[in-house]
Amino acid sequence: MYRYIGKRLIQLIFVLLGVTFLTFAVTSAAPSDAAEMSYLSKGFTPSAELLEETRKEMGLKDPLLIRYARWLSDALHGDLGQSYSYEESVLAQLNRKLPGTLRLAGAALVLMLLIAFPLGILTAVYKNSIVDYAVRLITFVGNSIPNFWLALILMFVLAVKLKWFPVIGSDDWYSMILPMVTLAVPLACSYIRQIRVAVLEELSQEYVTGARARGLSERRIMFCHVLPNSLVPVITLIGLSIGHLLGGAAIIETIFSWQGIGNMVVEAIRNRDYPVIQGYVIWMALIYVLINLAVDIACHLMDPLQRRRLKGNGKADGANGWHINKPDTGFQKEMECKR
Amino acid sequence: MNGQINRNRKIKKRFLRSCLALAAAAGMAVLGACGSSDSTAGTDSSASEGGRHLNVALFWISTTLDPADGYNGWVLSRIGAGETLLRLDMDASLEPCLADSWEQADENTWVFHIRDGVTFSNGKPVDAKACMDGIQRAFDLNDRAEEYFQLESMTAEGQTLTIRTKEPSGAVLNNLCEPLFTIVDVHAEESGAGGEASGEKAEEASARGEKLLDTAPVCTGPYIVSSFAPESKVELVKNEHYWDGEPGLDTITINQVADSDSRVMAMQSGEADLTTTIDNTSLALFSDESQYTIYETIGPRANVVYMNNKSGFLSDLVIRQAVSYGADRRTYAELIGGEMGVGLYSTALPCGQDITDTYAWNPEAAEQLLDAAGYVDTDGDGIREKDGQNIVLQYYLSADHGSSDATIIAQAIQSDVQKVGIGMELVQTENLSDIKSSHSFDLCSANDSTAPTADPEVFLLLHYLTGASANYGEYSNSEVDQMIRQLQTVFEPEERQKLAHEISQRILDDAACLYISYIKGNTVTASRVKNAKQFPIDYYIITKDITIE
Repeated sequence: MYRYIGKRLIQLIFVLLGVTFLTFAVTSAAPSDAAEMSYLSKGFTPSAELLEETRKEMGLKDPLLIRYARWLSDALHGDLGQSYSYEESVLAQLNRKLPGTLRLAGAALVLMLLIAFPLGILTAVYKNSIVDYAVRLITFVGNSIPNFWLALILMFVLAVKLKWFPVIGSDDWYSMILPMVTLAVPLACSYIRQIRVAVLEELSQEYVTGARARGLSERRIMFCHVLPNSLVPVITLIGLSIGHLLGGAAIIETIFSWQGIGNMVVEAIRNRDYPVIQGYVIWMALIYVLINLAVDIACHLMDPLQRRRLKGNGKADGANGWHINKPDTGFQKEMECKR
Repeated sequence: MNGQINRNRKIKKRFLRSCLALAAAAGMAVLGACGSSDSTAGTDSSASEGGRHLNVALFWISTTLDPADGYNGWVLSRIGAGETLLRLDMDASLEPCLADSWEQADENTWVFHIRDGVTFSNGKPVDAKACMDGIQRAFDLNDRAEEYFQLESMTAEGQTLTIRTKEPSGAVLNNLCEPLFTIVDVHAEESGAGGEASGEKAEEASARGEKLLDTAPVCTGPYIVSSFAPESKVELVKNEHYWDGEPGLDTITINQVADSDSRVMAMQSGEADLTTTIDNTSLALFSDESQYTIYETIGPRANVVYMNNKSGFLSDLVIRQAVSYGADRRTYAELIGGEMGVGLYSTALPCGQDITDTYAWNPEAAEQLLDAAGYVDTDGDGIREKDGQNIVLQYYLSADHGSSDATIIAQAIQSDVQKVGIGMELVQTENLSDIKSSHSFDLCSANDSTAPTADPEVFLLLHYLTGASANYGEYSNSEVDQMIRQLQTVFEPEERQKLAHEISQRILDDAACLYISYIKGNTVTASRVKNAKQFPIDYYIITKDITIE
């Protein structure tokens, strides 16, 4: 297991190198170069001579590989460069914006899970009942509503009319409720359907019938057998959602005046602030690779057969050392549960 | 059988209860955690509790408050903390501020007398040396300063500041109103903290000084920055040392609310007492005069469509004239809210008034011009041809300043010129600056402040002089070039305005581009806020006169 994690972490280095090089090459090929954008973003149109001078100073005349090597060397020393539009370094900007995104993403994820799991299970257990139909209707509506519209409606009703929450956000927990709900509700609506399908699929397995025949309680069957098996595909999706949330939510951040990374990158793209875009790309590559790794580990831990094999052999089998989402039998499950 | 069914129902009921209890507990936990904060919805503004406090929702707060960085000086000026030597009044004309008088010694030399008795907010007197240091710092740190005037040298003697420029420029006085030239105490930290007495190293004192300039610069305005959160919030308190009378408020909270709809709701919920830059369509929400007051003024900003004068179909004057005649600018301006554009300069400036609308909407005239030039539709597809090719123009646009105006204008022009037989393809792009710089367009949208300091010179030099860096449409007219050069050496304000008026008319007659509309700036306040103003030049929002009942 540790060997596998080590291997994945080594892969991470190559992924980061590839992603940063590609981004660097693409931004270097853009029609407006760093020298020009550094002036234009400050509202200053430089003369041709000044541009030429600045290009020399910034080393933009050097070949691409040399420029990338220089950037990489700086990045490894903790210097991701200076933002063109803002009077601060990229690292300082990331440090300033990331906590807001992390808090909002974390809270939205927790809320989403708290809504999605009970309702997903409920609609599966009460399939085709009034509860199922009602939740289905809500999820369809929730999935169809654009985020920004939900944000404005929530703000109008809960902040302007009822005055329960502030319109102008600050960095406290109270101001976070509305953006958190806005992010969590559409996600939850989609996950309720996913969880319902996953639970229903497991409920239709033979081992569930076997467990019922042996007299196990419904609760035990659900929480000890069905739910763990249903989690595997859902965890993979949750991993993607975490990545998506950690990438920031520009519109939500703008509407609720929340300081996050989403707004930062949209502004950076608008201003062709290449150092900030490059910093953002590193962040996204890091979180996606790490989250995928975490998802793989979680999936593995959710698979009892794999756990037992690991305990027995001291290592996992299979090409990658893992078996993900491998179907299990009711007997094996029951054995696991009884332990 | 019935017993089995009943048992199943009981199991399901118990399960349902478990799920509901879990969901309820989870919800309570989240809300409990969130509600544990001390915050409450909204903040009160009142004259009774802790003095007169004003809550403001602004669309932008910078990352630092150092006036020499980027456009941060604009924020400092808007929030009532920073001031310049001169300022622009409600008519966009010059008025004294920190300098109470000035004179021109020769073509390149300006002498200012710094007002006696003015102090920085830390009590330190403002003399010519302090002003010189502030202006010099702007030139040292910000490339934009050179765009306003080429500084040769400065000297300070008591209250007399002398500025020498490398070349004659009649725009110096107006350009000194740019908040980039905010007078700030550049030595504030060194003098205020007693660093020298405690044996502190010079570098450390300097670093602390820079930090102070970033977060709480010491200026001369009616309000002092007491706390600052980048891109989020500024807290201000009354400047007890203010030179121009007692400020009308005790404290102010400025919040960044970037979204226009959110600013509207902040006003409606009572969290903000004053906001600016509300979308035209939302202004109707504040029509109740018992609750709100709306201030609107035409500013120097214009929606413009550049035409490529050098290449493609539009290098032909006839086609540029036909497009100009075909565009119903009055209707577009009514649609997006604003005043119909005619020449370069808005009616906020004297040089923008009484321009002859050479190409007032006249589709028939457009058709006659095209017919006379032999550009007719021979294949009956509704598009005229030139040299056997359909006249189809590429119109590049992007959302500028977060507004949908550019799209509305483009679609309207496309529809109108189609009626006179000119085709137009709209290309939405996020890369408009590159396209403009490379002149690879037929038409492109822009949102320009044509007289950022209420002076016409800089814009002409950058946008209409042959070969100038921002002459996107590659307009070239040797007579106009000569007039622009002449403008640099005219110092009498009235003469400058007259000459700029002539240049604007010439550029319009050449059908160089389309000035569609002049944009109205707006400020909305709660009715209990008094003495607010909407200045034509948007450097100013919070003034000493604003108060709250």
